[in-house]
Amino acid sequence: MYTLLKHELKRRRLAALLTLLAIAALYAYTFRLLGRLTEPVAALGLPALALIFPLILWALWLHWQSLREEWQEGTTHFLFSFPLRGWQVLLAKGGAVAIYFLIFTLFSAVLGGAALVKGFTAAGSPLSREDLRQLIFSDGSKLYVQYLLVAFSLIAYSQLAFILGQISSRWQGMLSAVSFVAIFYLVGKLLALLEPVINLLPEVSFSFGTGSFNPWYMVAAFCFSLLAAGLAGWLLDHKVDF
Amino acid sequence: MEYALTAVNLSKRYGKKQALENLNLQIPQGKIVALLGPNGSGKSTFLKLFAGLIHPSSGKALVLGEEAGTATKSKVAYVPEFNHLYRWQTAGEAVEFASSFFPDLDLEIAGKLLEQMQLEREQKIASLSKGMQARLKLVLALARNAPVLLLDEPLSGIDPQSRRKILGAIVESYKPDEQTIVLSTHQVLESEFAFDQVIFLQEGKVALKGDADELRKEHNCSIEDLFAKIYQ
Repeated sequence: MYTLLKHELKRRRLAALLTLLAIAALYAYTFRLLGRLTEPVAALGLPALALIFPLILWALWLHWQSLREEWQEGTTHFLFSFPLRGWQVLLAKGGAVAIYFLIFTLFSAVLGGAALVKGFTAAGSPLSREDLRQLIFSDGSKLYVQYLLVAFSLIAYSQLAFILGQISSRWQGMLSAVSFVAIFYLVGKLLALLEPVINLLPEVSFSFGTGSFNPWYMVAAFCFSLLAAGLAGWLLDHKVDF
Repeated sequence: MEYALTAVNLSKRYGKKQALENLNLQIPQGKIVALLGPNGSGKSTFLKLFAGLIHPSSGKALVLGEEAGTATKSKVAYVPEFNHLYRWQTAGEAVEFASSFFPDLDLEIAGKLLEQMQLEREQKIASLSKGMQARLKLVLALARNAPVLLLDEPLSGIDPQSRRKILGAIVESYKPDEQTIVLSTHQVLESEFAFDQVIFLQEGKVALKGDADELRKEHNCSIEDLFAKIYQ
């Protein structure tokens, strides 16, 4: 499985390099912009939020592409002729996307941190070491963990939706898209059903400046993602024809 | 006796199309078996079922007594008709990639076969001609010590020179009594010298099967002529 992970990382390295360059270019622009700003709040919001959502979408798109390409290029007959279980293939593919996602997130976090320091200094109220530590390891890291979980859920749901489409011999694309929406609807419904149980659980502080969030919802959504990934693997082994 | 491949009431349906219908047959070990029939007769479906790439609609596909699936993939070397390799890999990378999943793939034999097939390790698969891609696919299968080789139209759409190389390599690499080769082809005349057994498929059913020499004697003609008679 490690070989497959390496293979997936290699396959996506050009796209990853281009993404890193795009992030660097965006931050170079942000740095120039920060030189002209006087409001520390604007300096705080700009770099952190500019890249996270596009990164999640990028991770989702990359994973979707990675699976879809196997079918499109006819390489499923090579990949699935290996004595591997469906979950192993999906884990290697999802793992490669997660690794790239992590690299980009760390890269943008480092540049974002530098942008914050520069922004606050430009506004005449430089960040103390304690402020910076608080931002990076408390609020900031929680934010990144939350986005990482969102990315993981999206990857798991998207792979399940894609595989559900492949079970049919017709209208695969449309079925995948409908399945993707249906999975989100189902997860939403299940979370609503679980609300009384979740409210009984002990509270955990998960504030990051702008509001608070009950992390047990995230834990439940993460469990659903694991279930989705497991189901996708089982379907690959037992129901999908290549 | 354990058979290399066994079909038990094996059927496969794609939507409304019945590709294989209630097939019952056994392929003994240590033989080169030709799977013959016109397009759409079910040859590729048959091979994919035993390669564990598709699932039966009903019945069973057994490889060395075990139901075809993930567990039997290490015992089967499958070569599809089209290019199934990653176009961005080089020939050498494809060999190494496959060897990490199949411990029975002998890298030394693969190297010799690459040379024999006049393929360069550094060549990108995307830049290879159809004939060269077909030869590379075969290198990946023949370099393995798999007890079952499933070759789907390995000679299709290939120039005569490449066809000769491919046939030569199949016959040379074949280990009688250890390996079973099931080969589907339309190039019957060129390849029939290698057949031990022949299965004629028609509309997903067995039209005729038997020992190649006995069929020649019984019908007093070559397998190529018999093919023409059955499907005329």
